[in-house]
Amino acid sequence: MSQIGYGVLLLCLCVSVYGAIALFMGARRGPRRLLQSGTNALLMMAVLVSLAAAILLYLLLAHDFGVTYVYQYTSTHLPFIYTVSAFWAGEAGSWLLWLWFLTILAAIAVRQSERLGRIGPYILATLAANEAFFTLVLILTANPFETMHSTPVEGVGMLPLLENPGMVIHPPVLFLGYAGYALPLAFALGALMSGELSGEWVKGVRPWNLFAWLSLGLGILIGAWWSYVELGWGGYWAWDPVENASLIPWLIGTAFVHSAMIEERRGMHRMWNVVLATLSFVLCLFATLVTRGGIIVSDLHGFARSLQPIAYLLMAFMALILGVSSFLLWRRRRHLASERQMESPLSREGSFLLANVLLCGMALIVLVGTLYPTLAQSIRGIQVSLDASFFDRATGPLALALICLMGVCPVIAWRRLTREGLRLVLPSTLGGALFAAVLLALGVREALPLVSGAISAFVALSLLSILARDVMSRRRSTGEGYLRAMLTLLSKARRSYGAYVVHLGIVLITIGVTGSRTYQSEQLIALNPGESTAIAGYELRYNDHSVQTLNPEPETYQSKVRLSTVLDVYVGDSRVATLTPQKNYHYALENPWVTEVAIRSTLKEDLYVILASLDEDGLAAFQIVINPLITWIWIGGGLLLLGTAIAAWPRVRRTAEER
Amino acid sequence: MGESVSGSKFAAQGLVTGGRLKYVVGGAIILVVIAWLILSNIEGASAHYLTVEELLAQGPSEQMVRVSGLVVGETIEWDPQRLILRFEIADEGGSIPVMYEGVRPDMFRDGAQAVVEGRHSSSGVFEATALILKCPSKYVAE
Repeated sequence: MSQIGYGVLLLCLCVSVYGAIALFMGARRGPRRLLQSGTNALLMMAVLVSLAAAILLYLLLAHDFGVTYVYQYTSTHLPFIYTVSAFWAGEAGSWLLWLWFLTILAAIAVRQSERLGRIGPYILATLAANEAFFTLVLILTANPFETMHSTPVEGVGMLPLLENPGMVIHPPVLFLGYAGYALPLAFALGALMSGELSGEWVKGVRPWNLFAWLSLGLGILIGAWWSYVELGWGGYWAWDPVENASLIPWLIGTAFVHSAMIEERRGMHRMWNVVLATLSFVLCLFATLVTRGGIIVSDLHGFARSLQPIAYLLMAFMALILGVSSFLLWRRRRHLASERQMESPLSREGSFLLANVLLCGMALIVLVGTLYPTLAQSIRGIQVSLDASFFDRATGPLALALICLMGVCPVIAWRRLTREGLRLVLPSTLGGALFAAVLLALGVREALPLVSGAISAFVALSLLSILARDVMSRRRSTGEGYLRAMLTLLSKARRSYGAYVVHLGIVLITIGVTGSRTYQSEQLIALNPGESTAIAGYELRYNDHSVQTLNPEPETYQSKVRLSTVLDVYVGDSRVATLTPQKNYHYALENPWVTEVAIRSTLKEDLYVILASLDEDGLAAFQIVINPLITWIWIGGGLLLLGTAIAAWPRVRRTAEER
Repeated sequence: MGESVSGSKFAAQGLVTGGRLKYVVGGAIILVVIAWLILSNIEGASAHYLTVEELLAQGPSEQMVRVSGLVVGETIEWDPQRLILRFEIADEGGSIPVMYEGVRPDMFRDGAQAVVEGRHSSSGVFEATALILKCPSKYVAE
């Protein structure tokens, strides 16, 4: 069966290479037959890779331990859902997943591309070339169908850190984002190659852009959530190279979403758009390079100290894309000039431009910070590492400025700031200042909550005032009720209102980040059974403990001794929760200890308990952390999803409400 | 065609004429700000790790430093009552006892690569305020 899988991959390589060549040649002068044949190859790829994916899934579920990948990541103990998620637990499987997503998205793009004129075949050709590269990587460096010399009876099992719902969702969503960014690249290169640079490509790429941006953003948030609940250090973002690597393309992608709008409305920023589209994709490849390629030197993370073979392939591909796009950019530079000049910096275009510069600036800072230890070692020969505080301090001001802009942009009109815009901005600004004053009065003295509180209030009020203005003007013209007016606006002015919901989501995330960063508190305490401790208005009573051995035979990564404690949480006299922080000793693992934290979440704060140790007589040591406002981060993420869905929802025709 | 001609007229207008200057200046200011943000924070946040050998050579001091070394398994002592972890870190140049108040990290064991941040106290014990351990790579077999 695995031989069939490998054969399918080889076939995929031939098909995708053929498709790329046929489409490219067909685009330039081709007979329609060649184009048709190339397109069929692309559709064929979707079928073939789906087949390969199905085969891998089958091998996993059938526990065929003769296949190296199945042996390395599963065992018969593994629950069904994790046997499935083992598909993307390792390098080879996750590449196959990425490729599979890519082929599906490309197949969906076929229909749209056929309606796009000259640019269409170039888009498909780029996608086919992309698929060829990924297949090549699979075959050369990450073959999921590799077999062992003999078939072991039992698999090694899954790393316990990966046995978590977060790790079931996080990689697929993230890879959906990475795969999605192949579309903007294809559109941009397609536009450059065909010379169709009048803005059609930006309109056509918009749904893909939003899709990739949303997937990547959600993937990052889910990763942060996983880190919070599974890694058990009390935080959710450590500015570590792997996290940063996925954030950088997302920041560039955010800039692209905005500058694409400028080109759509005003025919400006053509060069920006081509560059940003290409960069977002290349940075996704770079993210993969950082995660698997061994280029990052870090004393804290066991990144491979030497370059993996995959690194060379990735770097070559990145160089190829950058080279081709630079060459094409230079050749088409005249076509990329803007249709119009910006009339005034105090305009929507101006604020969008500023936002993009800030976003790219943040991406640059994160990139520099991530590469700094590697560069320092290779250039100056010294071993350094960069604290998380660098990223906080360097990106913080830019992030706050950006959030401010979110409040300004909707009120500022295209072309120049009008008096009406000023009238809307002023009350919100006063509101923000008032909120800061209220916080001061309540005893808040730290800079971050004051500043970000004021800015968040400003943005929220600004969005509210826009909503109020629109609802009022709707009521004036149609006499609808408030609720009805709001719903109609939501459905008619989707792009704007979707964006407002997304921006509101960002504000919520800011609130969550500020609260948990500034006011986190913790307590270290040892308790005997029956004893209690108090923190932040909670009383935690340590009631019970147990030690059990799970999955003992046969011995796999899932075999463990579970040390478990039971804590009852009281607020006042009523019991509000029962928490069971645990520690598992996976005796087959080199690093056997895995902590399972217990969390009680409310909108106000999280009560987060880590079991530090458990003695035979029941003496337990706990680290108790209070994380204020952290739930708002996840809620904000939900709004990101909702807002993007609203903005991207297809419409039958544009209405007058569209601005 | 006409559009690309007028387009190139805009492109040919040059950087200094008319209203373009303020955008160039604005852009330059922002770039300077970004460069300043990077450079001013990098020195403060980068930590040069001392080896155990270097730390011993330096001797006790009030300065907060970071030291990297390997955990010596036999010396690990955990006081569950007071949540104090005692152990020694070592490299070829010697070893030093460390005292850390906090949760024993999951990755902590004999031979683990550890970084401790704190003071080399006059009693010879390194009083650590932070303990960070190296995480194994998820993707590459070790």
